[in-house]
Amino acid sequence: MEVGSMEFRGTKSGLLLRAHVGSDIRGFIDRLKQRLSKSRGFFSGSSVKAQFEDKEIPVESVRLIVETLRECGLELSSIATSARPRRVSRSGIAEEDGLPAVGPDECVSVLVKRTLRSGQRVDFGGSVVVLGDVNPGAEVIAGGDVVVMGSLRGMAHAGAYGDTGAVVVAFRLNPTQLRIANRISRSPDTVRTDPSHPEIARISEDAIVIEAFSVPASGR
Amino acid sequence: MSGQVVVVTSGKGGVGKTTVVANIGTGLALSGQKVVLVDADIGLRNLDVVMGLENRILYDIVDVVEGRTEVRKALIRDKRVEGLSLLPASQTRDKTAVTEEQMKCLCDSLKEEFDYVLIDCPAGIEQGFQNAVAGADGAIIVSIPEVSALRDADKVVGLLEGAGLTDPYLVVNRIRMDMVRRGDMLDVSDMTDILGRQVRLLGIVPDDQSIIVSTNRGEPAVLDPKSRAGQAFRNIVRRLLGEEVEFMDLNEGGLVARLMKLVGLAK
Ligand SMILES: Nc1ncnc2c1ncn2[C@@H]1O[C@H](COP(=O)(O)OP(=O)(O)O)[C@@H](O)[C@H]1O
Ligand SMILES: [Mg+2]
Repeated sequence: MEVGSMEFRGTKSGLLLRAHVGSDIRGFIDRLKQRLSKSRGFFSGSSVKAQFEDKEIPVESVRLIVETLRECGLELSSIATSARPRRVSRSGIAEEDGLPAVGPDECVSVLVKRTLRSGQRVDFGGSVVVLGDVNPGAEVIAGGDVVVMGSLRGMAHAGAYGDTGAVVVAFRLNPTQLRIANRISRSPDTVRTDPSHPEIARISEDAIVIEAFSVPASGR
Repeated sequence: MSGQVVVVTSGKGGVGKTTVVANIGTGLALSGQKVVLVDADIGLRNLDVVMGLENRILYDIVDVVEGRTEVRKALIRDKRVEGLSLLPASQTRDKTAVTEEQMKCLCDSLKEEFDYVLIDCPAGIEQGFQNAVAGADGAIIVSIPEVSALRDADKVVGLLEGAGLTDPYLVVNRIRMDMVRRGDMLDVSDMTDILGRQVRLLGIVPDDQSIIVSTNRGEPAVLDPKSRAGQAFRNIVRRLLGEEVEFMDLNEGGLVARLMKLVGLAK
């Protein structure tokens, strides 16, 4: 698919937007607006799944796309990007079959195989898994969930474009600041030592709560 | 012969880079290595003062890279220790006077002649830092047990990684056991915890007034057999040369411990 191009398609499960955003997000948004105005509200009220040919899309770009769609009466229900990120199904098995539409129970994730140090930042439209620590002064921003297989001591933002169901999980959850969707919680001003067990942060009754993380009972 | 170029860096200023370069360099030379110290803190020259060699400067690093003199003529031989030389920084020019390419070239030619080329890096992470690491084969990160210094050290580990220097050494400077015990100062393990296993602990240097005395005299503490910081630097040098040396028990010299020894409560 050409860089900057887009295509809408009707599918059984709703509308599918396939696009290759490229680096010119402004131009892309302009063309998206044109395309949607041509359809004169035909799509209004439908939900859209988006598939991007791009390897990664900055959260800010995703936010602009979501807003543009919303202005035309469309809700984005899921998002997928290509290449390195893998589609991970609920069973936890990675499927490498290109770019299928993904449902709400599944998400596209990127694996960061190193420790993020002060001043380093990962910004990704799907979920982010870090195989290492996130040190103070480092940032992880994800459209989906954030999972840290180590100590999270920096800043993490899950559900960065509005998903209040997103969670942050870490082996040692001790962040300077946590954000989920548009909620923010910061660490207590007193020194907190690293907890000794995995924890999960999620939104409950409009606030971010942190609980011990235990593996959910298997469906079988 | 090809020696190694080691850059000593920290991000934050005033944590002890120059002190570390002077002492490790002098210690290596005492152990029979041929060593050159390069002051890359251009515009804030002070390695020469700490080494007590200021009055012998004829040319500086900028004169060398701009071709006004040969490297050989700009090097100052140490007056006490054989096999130790210094290439001073310029005091009147700034960091833009040298490029990364020139620095790399200089390092490559110096390591033909010396076993160790130690580079004293300026504070910060801008051009001066980039220049100082350009020709390096290895790095020593200096930090003090303070959160802001540790944050900078962590950032520097990331930047060094980007420059291909993936397993730096760490020297923790100015530790005060009385404060650590009271929980008022970061512990070494707090620091190695954040920096991760990729960073190798090379040594722990106590906060020691003898450093200030030696700095003012222009005599690195490593030359003073009574200095505790000097002892820590001697251990660091032995570790660099591949020996396994236990980390000094910093408590031992404390007043309480010495009193207990006196009254026979401890051996
Ligand atoms: N272990 C130590 N104990 C006491 N003072 C120290 C110690 N290490 C460094 N200092 C002092 O700290 C100051 C800064 O050290 P310096 O080596 O010039 O740092 P940098 O080169 O990183 O700016 C100097 O005055 C020095 O004497
Ligand atoms: Mg200095």
